[in-house]
Amino acid sequence: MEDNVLEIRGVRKRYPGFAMRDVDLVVPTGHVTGLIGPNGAGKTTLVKLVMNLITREAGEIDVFGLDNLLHEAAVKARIGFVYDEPSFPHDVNARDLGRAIGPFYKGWSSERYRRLLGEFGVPERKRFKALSKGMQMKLALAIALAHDADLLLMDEPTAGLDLEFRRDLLEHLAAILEDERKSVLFSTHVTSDLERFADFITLIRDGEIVFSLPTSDLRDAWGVVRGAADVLDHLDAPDVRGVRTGPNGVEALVANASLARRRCGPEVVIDRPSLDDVLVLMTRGDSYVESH
Amino acid sequence: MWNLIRKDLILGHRTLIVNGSMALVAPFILLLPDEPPPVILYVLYVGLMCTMLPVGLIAKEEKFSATAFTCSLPMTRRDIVTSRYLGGWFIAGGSMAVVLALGLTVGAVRDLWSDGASGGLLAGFVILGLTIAIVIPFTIRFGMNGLLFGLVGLQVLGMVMFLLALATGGLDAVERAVKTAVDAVGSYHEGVGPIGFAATVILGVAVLNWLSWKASLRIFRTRDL
Amino acid sequence: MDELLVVERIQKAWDVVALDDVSFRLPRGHIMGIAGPNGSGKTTLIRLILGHIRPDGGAIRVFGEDPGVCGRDIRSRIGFVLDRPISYEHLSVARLGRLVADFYSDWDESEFQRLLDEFELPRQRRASALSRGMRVKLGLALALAHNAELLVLDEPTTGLDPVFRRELLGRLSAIISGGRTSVLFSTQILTDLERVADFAVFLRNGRVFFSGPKDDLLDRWAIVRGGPELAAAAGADAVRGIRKSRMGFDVLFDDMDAARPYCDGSSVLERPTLDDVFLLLGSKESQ
Repeated sequence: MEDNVLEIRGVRKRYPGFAMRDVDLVVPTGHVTGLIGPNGAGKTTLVKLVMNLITREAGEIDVFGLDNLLHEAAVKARIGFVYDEPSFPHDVNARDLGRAIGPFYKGWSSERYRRLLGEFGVPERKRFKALSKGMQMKLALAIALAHDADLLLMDEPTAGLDLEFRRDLLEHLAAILEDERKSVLFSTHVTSDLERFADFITLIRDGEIVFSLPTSDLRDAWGVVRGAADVLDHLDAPDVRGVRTGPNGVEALVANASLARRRCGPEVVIDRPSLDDVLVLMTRGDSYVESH
Repeated sequence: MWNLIRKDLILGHRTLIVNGSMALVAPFILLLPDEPPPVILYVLYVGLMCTMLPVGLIAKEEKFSATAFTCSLPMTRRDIVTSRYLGGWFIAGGSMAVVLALGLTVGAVRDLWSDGASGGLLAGFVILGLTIAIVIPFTIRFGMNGLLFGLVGLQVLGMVMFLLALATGGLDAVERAVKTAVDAVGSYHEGVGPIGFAATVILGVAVLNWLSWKASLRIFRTRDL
Repeated sequence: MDELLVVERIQKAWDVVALDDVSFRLPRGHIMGIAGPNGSGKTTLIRLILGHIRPDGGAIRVFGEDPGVCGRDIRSRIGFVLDRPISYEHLSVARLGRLVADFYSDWDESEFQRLLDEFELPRQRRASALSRGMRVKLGLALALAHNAELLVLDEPTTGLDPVFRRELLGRLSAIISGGRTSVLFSTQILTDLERVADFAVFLRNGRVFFSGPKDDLLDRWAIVRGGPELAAAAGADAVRGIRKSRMGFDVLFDDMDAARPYCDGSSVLERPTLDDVFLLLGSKESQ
């Protein structure tokens, strides 16, 4: 079994107004990798490239050790996917979908599918159009989970779902991941979902991967320094990954919190960064290096 | 491959039933005037309506952005395109056979067939093959909207050309050209006999479909969803 | 304390009960966040506060008066930004400004222009062509330009990415910093409340199951996560909620000291996030 369920190497894709160049990304097997980034950064583009919904201009993508173009069917047979706006013809219902899709997947179990529909509360006979957006998403999730996929590829799977369900879903996924052969790539805005659930965090910005780190690193080694503007003078420039100036002073994201603590002294507030902090400070924040 | 066709049938069965019923009933309109139409016209009409059945399924999928879902299933794009052709022939051809057979239960229709049955059947095959070959690549590339635009566009083009011909006095030339073509076909028919003619036509339709399939493969392979 | 908004035992029902015995108060110069899932009654509550609909029971007072029947001078002190698209969407930003200006006697045009610049809103663009985030900003500019003292926003952060969301919340925070204006907003995202709210109200199925200062929750409450043996904690005084987890149970205490005894080698003691509090206070097991 491969170390990495997904490897993206040197991938390139261009749209008017957007360019993705030389993207390298690795998703380790048996873990949850969270993909975060602002709107338009390329999260959905990456997912589409893996599923070959859009063609890459250069580079390689290997899933389960196989090239995703040369072995397209074999690769997709083991991927459970959820896209950010599930779309099916209006007059189709959950039962029809199950019957239509089941034969494509070896691991499909109609029992499991119906059980998931039941757990998620999706009515089997209701037309797709008549379902609320949350229900539509739950249906898409049930389909993705029903065939015992080895890789779950999810693009904003929790948008519009309430907290209760999101927690239940994450616990469900965590249970699935107890099998080390399963992996998850989860792209989302709702960073709080990833805080406790993701093992690795990848940040993408303007079509580039900014970093890909274990969540524990971010939590334990990084920090957010909050104080008056002069606090920046104490900090080591390369460590500062993003700065934001507000009416209450300055917020600086540092990659080495303990060093910053030694430099700044005990009165300065240094907190553990939330993923939200990381995302915001590294995207809208100004680069410290540039302004100094 | 067959999984794909089956999927389309399951997910589109309601649309098929509605459109299929129309295909069943509509041809009877042709029997209303006092002078019944030649059987070829009847078959053409049925053929067109039946071809719209699989095309409608493709267009419906496009309309709801469900193509991305289909392309995410464990199939290659090539499989998907091929299933559209096979499915197209299967659904359109099958429904055509049903409609024509049911039509025979009505006396007025049986009378139509009494004159020129083999021509009618050949016409049916041709209309099926032609429509599929032309419409599928279009729909694959442009979706339902593209198809409608294309059809309307063609009509507009036809009108423009007609008006042009009228204005430039070229209508006679067009009439002569059409006559020459029809005569050529007629003499070929006499030359090779009905079986030879049918064989040529069938071969022509097959080649056209093959070319169309190739074109669709190319179009669909690189289409971004 | 100067309470701009007083909501007392509100009842509202259509064919299902939308709101049941809802009460809270918002003092001047503070931000209150109302959190709850879809269908919990947030929008109904906001419409009641704005006087667009009337309660079946209970009372609402805005600046001391009933918002359903109050006069123009009270109305002009309230600004609102709703989830639904603004009417007159085909108008440009500038024209909308002129349209709204007519409704308010103390419209400050220079302030409106300044806000348009600050929010980077293109004046000639139609409202319908603005992205969701920009629409919210426009609504905010319109509301602020007539110097509203109470700002009411229905799900302003929904659909925005985290960066935009944080900016918007930062602005709300800046608005109340003068001590004159209060803000009430609804959301499904509890981190919004964590970020800027002074007071939190948790709503589910039309009932309020928590209402109080947010800092209390974050500073004093605690959560213990552990195995099945934690079920024994359920009856204790300081326990406010309990929920089944994969490993056993999560237990919510309103007092960190009371939580410590339950924390041993196999269980973990943490500060709760508002997500945790929301889930645990309202969980099935807690009822």
